Amino acid sequence: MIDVGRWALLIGFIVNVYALLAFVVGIRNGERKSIESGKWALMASLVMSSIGMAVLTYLLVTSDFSVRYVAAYTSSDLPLLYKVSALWAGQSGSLLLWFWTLSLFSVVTVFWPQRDAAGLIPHVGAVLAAIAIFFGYLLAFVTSPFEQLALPLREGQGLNPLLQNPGMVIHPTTTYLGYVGFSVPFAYAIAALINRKADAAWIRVTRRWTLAAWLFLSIGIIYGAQWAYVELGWGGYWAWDPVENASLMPWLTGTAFLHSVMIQEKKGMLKMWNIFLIIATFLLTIFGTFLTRSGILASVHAFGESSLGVYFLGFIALTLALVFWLVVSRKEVLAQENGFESTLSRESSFLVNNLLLVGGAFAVFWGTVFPLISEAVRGQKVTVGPPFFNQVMVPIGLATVVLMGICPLIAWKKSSLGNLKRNFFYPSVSALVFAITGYIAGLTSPGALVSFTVSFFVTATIFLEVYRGVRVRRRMTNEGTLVALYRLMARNRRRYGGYAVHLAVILMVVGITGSSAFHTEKAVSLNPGETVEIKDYALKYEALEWRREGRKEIVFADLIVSKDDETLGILRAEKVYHPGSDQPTTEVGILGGLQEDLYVILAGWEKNGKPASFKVIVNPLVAWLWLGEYLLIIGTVFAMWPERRALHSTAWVADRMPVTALAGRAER
Amino acid sequence: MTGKVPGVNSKTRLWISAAIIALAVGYLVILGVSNGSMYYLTVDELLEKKASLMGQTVRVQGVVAGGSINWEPGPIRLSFEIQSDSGVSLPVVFNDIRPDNFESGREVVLEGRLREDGLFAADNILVKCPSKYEAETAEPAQRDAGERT
Repeated sequence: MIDVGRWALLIGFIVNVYALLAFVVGIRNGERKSIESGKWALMASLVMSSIGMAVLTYLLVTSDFSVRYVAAYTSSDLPLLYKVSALWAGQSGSLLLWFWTLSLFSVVTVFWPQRDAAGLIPHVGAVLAAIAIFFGYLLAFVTSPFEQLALPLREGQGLNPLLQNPGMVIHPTTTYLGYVGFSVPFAYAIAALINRKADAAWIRVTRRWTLAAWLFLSIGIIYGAQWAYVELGWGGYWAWDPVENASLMPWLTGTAFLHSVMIQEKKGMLKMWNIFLIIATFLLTIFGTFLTRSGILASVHAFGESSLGVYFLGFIALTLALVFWLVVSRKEVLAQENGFESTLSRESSFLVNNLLLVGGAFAVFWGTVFPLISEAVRGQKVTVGPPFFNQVMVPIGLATVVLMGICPLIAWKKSSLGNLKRNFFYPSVSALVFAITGYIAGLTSPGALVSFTVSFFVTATIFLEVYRGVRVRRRMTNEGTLVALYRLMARNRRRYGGYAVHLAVILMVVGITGSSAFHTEKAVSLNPGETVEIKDYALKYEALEWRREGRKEIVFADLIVSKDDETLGILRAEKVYHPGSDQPTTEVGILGGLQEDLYVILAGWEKNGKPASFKVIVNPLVAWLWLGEYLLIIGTVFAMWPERRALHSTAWVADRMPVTALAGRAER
Repeated sequence: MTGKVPGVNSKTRLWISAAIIALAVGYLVILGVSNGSMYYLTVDELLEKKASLMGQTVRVQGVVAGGSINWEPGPIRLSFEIQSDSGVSLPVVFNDIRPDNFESGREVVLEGRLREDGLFAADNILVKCPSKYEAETAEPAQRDAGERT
């Protein structure tokens, strides 16, 4: 069985080499047959990697401890779900997941091409095969999941208890789907570049891929934060840890890309920029994988040191060299068709958005690799921590948010000052009123005041846009408000999905502001019967208790929570001892609500719990982050959903019209 | 094309705006680095440069010395020693709750200051995963975790 797996991966590597050759030969000689066989080779890669996945899953589920991977990450008493999820718990298994996902996406891409860009498929296939060769090589020759132990262990070492919860099934998989998903638009960009066909066809064709990849990456990041908040028990959700940053960087450039392709689609501008952006995004996904696996940076996610880092660096260097050569040899193709006609236009505000996001990605990159650079240059490692990231990213973030509000209200091509005044009057005035009211009501912290005001402003612009759209539509069709709203949104999914996602971002900004600026915490030692007060809550510690759940032993404390003399309920904070591990994991007690989270950690105890020490935290508005997450998912799915009348030109024309004509247009 | 200032067309103005944004971001980065950066040292390096680094917030990397952990849940104080590869020890005090996964032999990165009395006052403890797990998550442990007494 193990040999089946090993051979499958070896063959998987070989078929991808064949695929690359077949595509290249087919392109050179114009042979359809070659290209067809290349496609089927990609299919073979999918089959082989699927076999590999199946075999590894089988070995994990049957607890075959002669295999190093199985012994390292599972034990016989591990629940089935986690035996399966252990597949991606370690280095080689996660690479196999990547390889399999890439094969799957490659097959879907080459076998179901969109008519518009069918000519690019051979090149796309070649690029995808090339990437698969890299991962296939690693799996077949460098770090195989099927490596056997010289002496099989009688019992496995078990999965880290921290990974034994449903969140760890979701977070890695969605993040990987996001990373690998960006390979497809990347391949198309390279294909377009090779073919000297830099028009918008490749962008139209990959739009849903990009959106889907971006969605999965967003989910991966936010869900990772949510998991950290609920499971790790330190009261926070983001630490600017190198591996967190590694996922944020491609997200930032990916978001920039999502926006700038709209400009290329509608105005034929920014062709070179778009190609650079997707290449940067792809390389950042590889770079992120490199950071997690090379051990060069101290991180919570550290997968441990390995020589794999060198391979990843080599892959990145090779890709950069290839891209550089391509761009230089095809420079003339990328000249823009139209120039920017006015500084004050939607195109230019999109460009500013891009600059901010890419600037942010650069800042995060700089902060993350700073220790390496400083060591190389000055011989002394210097690190930057959260203060650096917060200081740089908060202004950039706020500026981007403001832009989010301004941009949809600026017309394409050119906006006059009069136009602006009309569009921005109500939102600006109401935002000002909000700010003044807030200040008087006690919101004096400048950062928070600015953040909330800006959020209010953007929300106002979004609602204004929707209101206007509905009003115009109703004038034309005499529909009821709700019907008009529904039809308006259904016929402009990109636009309204986009608004929903912007609103989701606002929700998250509010959540981040609240929980950062107004976070309170206390570390206390309590004897049974004593009470700790924080903000207007009182928590009374009763006693330390113990229970058993399956093979876990749990020490817990129940605290009675009251607010203003009214009992709200009981919060339970636990320390869970897992079999085979000395160190417990933490189950925090959270009393969550829209306004704030009351968060309790059981930190330790003296004999019999007299006293026990706790950390109590009040995190305002954290729930808004998770609400934003759900709205983001809904908005993106809505934007991706195919419209009944999927006529490119209609939607394209409709979006070019100012909003007043939108409703009328959409009717046709 | 059309530009309000004669001789300065839109393309130039766009480049100028781009330059302004780039400069602004660059400025923030430089400011952030000068405010937020700290040396990352091993125990040996810290003790070597003791005189010049006294009182300055730095990051120190070392291994938790076996048998040195003293966690007092009452006053909420964690005292221990970290060691460098060469065996040199540094006593540490952390006035917050003991992190999960914190135990003898673990590699840790501390953020804090060296005090006059030779004790290292830690504000943050980052616990690195033990080498027996190739892939594991450890928390940026600033709080929590207990010990069976």
